[in-house]
Amino acid sequence: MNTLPSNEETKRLAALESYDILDSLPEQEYEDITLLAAQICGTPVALITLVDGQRQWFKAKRGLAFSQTPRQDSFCAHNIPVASTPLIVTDARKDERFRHNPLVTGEPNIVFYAGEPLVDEDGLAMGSLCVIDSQVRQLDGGQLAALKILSRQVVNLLTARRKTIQQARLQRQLRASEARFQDLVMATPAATAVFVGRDMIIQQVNPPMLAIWGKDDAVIGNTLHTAMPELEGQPFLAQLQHVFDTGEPFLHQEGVALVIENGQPKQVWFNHAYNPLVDEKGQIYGVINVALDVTSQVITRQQLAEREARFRTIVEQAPMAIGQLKGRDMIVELGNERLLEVWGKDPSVVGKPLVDALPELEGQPFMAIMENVYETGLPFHGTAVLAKLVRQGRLENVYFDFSYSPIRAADEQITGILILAVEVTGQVLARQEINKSELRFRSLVADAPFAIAVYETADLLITLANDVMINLWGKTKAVIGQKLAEALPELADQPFIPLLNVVYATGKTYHTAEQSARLLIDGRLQTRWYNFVYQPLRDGQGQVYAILNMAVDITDTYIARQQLQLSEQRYRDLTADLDNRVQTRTQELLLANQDLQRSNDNLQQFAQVASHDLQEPLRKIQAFGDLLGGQLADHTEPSVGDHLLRITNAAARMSALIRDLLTYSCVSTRQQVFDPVSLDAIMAGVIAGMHEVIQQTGARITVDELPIARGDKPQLGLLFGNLLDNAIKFAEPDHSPQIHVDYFYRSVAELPLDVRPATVAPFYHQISVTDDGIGFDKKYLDRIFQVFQQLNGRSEYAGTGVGLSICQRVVENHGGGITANSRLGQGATFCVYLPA
Amino acid sequence: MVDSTNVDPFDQMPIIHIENDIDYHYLVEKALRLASIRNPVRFFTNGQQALAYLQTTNEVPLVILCDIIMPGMDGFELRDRIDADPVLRLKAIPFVYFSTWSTKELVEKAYQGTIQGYHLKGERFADLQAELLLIVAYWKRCLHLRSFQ
Repeated sequence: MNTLPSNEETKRLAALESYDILDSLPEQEYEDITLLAAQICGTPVALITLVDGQRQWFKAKRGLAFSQTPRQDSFCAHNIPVASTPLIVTDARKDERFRHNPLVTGEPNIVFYAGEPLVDEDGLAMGSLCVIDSQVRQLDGGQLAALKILSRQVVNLLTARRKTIQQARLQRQLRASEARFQDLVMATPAATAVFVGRDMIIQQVNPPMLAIWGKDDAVIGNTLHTAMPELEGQPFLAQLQHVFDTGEPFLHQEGVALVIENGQPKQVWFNHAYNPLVDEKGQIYGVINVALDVTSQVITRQQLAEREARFRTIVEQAPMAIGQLKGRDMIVELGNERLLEVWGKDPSVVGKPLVDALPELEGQPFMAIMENVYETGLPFHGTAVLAKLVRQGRLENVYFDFSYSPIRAADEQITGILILAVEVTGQVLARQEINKSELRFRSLVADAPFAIAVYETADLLITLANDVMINLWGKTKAVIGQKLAEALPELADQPFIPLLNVVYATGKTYHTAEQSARLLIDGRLQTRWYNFVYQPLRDGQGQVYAILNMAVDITDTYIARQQLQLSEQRYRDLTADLDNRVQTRTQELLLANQDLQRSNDNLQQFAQVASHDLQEPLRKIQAFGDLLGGQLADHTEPSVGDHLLRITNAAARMSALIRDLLTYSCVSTRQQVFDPVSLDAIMAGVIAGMHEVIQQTGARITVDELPIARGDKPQLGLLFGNLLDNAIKFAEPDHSPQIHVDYFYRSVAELPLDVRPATVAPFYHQISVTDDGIGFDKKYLDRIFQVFQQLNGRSEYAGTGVGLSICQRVVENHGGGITANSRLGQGATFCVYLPA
Repeated sequence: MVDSTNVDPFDQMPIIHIENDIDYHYLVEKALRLASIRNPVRFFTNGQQALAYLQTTNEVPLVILCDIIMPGMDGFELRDRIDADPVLRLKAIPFVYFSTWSTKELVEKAYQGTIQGYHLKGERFADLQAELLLIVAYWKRCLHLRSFQ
């Protein structure tokens, strides 16, 4: 058996290949071994054969000319399946396996063969060490042992050879890898530097890195510190050493550096990566620094950020509402202030789905429109659309011009919706207002009780005329749309068309009153009178575009007034005449008044004289009468005393009369404006002043509570004093008078018929003084208030007869009335009525 | 009749009466004497005479009774002249108006000067006398600078 299973054979052939020995040049070590084997075994031939797939090749051959044979002729191939004993053939000519072998039958005519297999460290047989002879031989034990030793020696040589080959290959690979690494460093566009050792000796640096450093390749071999002293104080060296010490890679993102490029300072940004370099033993021996110039990215990003910021600013400051919704849920991603204002929301809505942000949209069409935009990608534009939005807690009707546009990502996918909206509530309301006012105007015109027409353009086209105007013209509605001059040809020689042209040209309103016009009415040219206005109508630019004509037919009033004016003139003449007469009368009255004033002054002076000068002699009559009375007290003639008494009594009476008359004349006959006074207080004062006479007579006076009334205190004092005085005075002889002062509040209807107050008022204060005295006969009622009227003999009841006249005058001065009620011997009641 | 050893000095002080109506000189004198008041009475019919007397006399008057309305220098003017005279002013002779006549206006005006009273003569002789006795009694009783002379 000289074959192996194919997989074993493949392994064996691979192993054989690994020695790289087939077809190699002869080598002394192998030659020496075959020499030794031949000499020890005493054979002419000794071979080291290596069995390849198709042949056997001799690494060393002693005593043989050729260097290989086909494998099927090989004796040694029989050694390949490893056996415990070497193959020994004593006589190949007689051996069934070899007797037909060409090496037996021909050159070198092999008879004897002994082969020791070459088994390597993996137990695979590569071939054998064999000795050959052309005659029959026997090997002894010593020779066989030597052959075995020598074969092992061959295997040793093979093993050593393979090791050498492997090492050489590794060396080659290492060199290639290093070269590749260096090429890579130098060729990479990323700035790269390799530092070795803790001092960071620059082992390798490529041009981009040198450009960053601003150095040339002279730095190679120096420490980083020496090469770039300017890094002192910057963190780079420390960072590199940290990587070196810890083995942790370090990434410095977008470090900024100021470099000088073409003499210009320039900011550059780098991403720096420091990675440890580890040798085959896992030891860190250096750091590789790769720097990526990211300046353009950074600048691009800055520009992008700037553009974004600018865009945001524009959005924020835009006068229109701008918002951005994201995703199918319409999340509010962005909304400028204007949008929030328009929505009536605060910034907290950002980040919420629109449905939550504006719940009031429920039931309004906007969500559906947005969903449609999102679905179809077709933008939506709305003009003056009504939206109901909650603002400041109130649902408001708001109008918008707006658009919803799809926002697309780079891949054309719709990612959101851009809202642009302008609130036009004011404009819409204004337009509605204008429409309303236009309607109002038209109905006003139609319903106006006076004639209205509008003439448009300089041609004065009748665009509007109400029924009143058409009737006034005596035309039909057919005139509307015609030029005024053509509709009313009778105006041709009248001033109206030129007037209208002036109004149209100047823009100044023209008013006129009582203007006559000749119009063709009922087929007859009639003259009628009008008040009318030509008012220019201006468009938005202030340009006159039409004239409003309002007219009132005043023909009837005009004619009536013409007549009125005539009668007025007559009336004026009469009035003037009357005025003259009144003036004359006034002058006369003025003079009369002055006379009266003089006469009053005279009266005042008379009163002075009366009170002083007239009283004086009476005083003396009394004084001397008194003196004389004293002297004549013991006179024998009794009539002397009596005469003297009469003289003094007469003087006293005269004195009292003058005093009362003076009082009466001093109570002014003029009605005055009075202040409110307390009647209670006045009555109390009067009673206090009369205490002496009250004591003497034993009179009892009861007084009701009296009101406050308007009046003159002294005059009312006189009134109450005289009434009470009378009540006491006219008592039954030897009877203490009982007097009641009563008060009633009376309406005018309750007044007695005989009381005619000087002033008519709705209510009156009634003050009644009732006594139980002698009374009087009612038939004298109208006399008792007259001056000097005394119903009683003066000897019994002292008095001047002026008291009640004073009372009446006081009451009249106060706008009141006085009356009395009595029956002879039944007492009397005096009732005073003062306006309340 | 008069016990000269027992004379009250106040009874000797003259009463000055200024009054244009000489009937009243008589009545006043009569009323005082009937009431046994012995003070001498110096009568003047107008303010001018009275002022001349007051400025020259050595007498210490008990009281001046002065009418208001008089021809020539009236009561008000006399009052003002006395007040304006430093010597007379210092003497502080009681000055009382004695009149038949009173109005609010007159009384108001009277009290604008320095006076010690405004009395009415009364209707009847008894009234006149009562008023006079009151005045004289009062000024005899009232303490005054002269009480210390």
